Amino acid sequence: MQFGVVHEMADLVIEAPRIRDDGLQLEEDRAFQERFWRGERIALGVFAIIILLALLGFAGSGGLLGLGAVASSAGSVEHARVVRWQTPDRLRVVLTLDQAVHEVVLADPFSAWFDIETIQPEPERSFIGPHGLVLQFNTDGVPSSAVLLSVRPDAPGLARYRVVLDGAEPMTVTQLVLP
Amino acid sequence: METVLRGIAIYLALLVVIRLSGRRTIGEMAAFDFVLLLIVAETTQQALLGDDFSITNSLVLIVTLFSADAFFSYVKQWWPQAAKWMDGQATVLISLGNPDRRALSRARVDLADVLLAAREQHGLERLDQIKFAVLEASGSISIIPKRDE
Repeated sequence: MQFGVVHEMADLVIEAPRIRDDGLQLEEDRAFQERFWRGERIALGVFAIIILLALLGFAGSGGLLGLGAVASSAGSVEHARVVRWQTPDRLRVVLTLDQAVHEVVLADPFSAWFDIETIQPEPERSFIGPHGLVLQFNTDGVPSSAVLLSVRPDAPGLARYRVVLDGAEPMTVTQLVLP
Repeated sequence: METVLRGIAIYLALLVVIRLSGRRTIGEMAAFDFVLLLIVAETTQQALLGDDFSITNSLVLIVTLFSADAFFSYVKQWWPQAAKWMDGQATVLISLGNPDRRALSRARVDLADVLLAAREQHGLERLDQIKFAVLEASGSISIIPKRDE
């Protein structure tokens, strides 16, 4: 393999690519190419894994394993395990105690992570309690009432907050907020 | 701040994905590849802007993207190895009339693509009329025909 010609023009030095044995003047690093092609194959595998994880629900917005739930003696909270930053998602609170008025406490730092967009049904009363946001619902004693909250994550990260239903033991909800 | 971070994140993500998915994806663009490119553009637009469609946000984003591009062009200038990784290198597919099967297979180019380039560039009819075929870093295929001796 011959060395390329070095052209000197005043203070500018330009080194031309080498001339290969077959006569082609071209810079080709086959060892690098081999490494890169191997990297490409690995990347295709990584792409397949990302698609699989997304189908399983680990990229948010539904999926086979996308929903999680925590329960207490007063009900349960169904939530997405993975949600996306600034994309509304749903929390489903199921209240199982046989009583007319129910109370849902979304304890801090819930409000630091999420904005509540809608609540169905609308609470009779909502206020800030000592532990966080308190929502009171009148269900007229209907057993297994469900409350749907549309929430919008405010920041990416691992959101961990507690939910207390009707004064029962607190449940810890963990949601990964993807950027 | 969020706009700048979004812009840089999407720039880097696109750089990595497009580079790793093989240069043919962009270089040898078929009709469907063009549609795919439009879909990618539409998808990234949402991620780049979020809910903020203000002129300020757009301006910050445009400046960020152009600055990132300029920054990486300096990086490539200072560090030639980075240019190899980011832009790729030319690959010789046919040398002195002999097809390099491994290079063709690894670069996901078949002889039909080479013949297409040969017809388009030089009106060549057959493979044995090609002296060199090079898959350029840009993704296009350059053909050097054999000369009559």
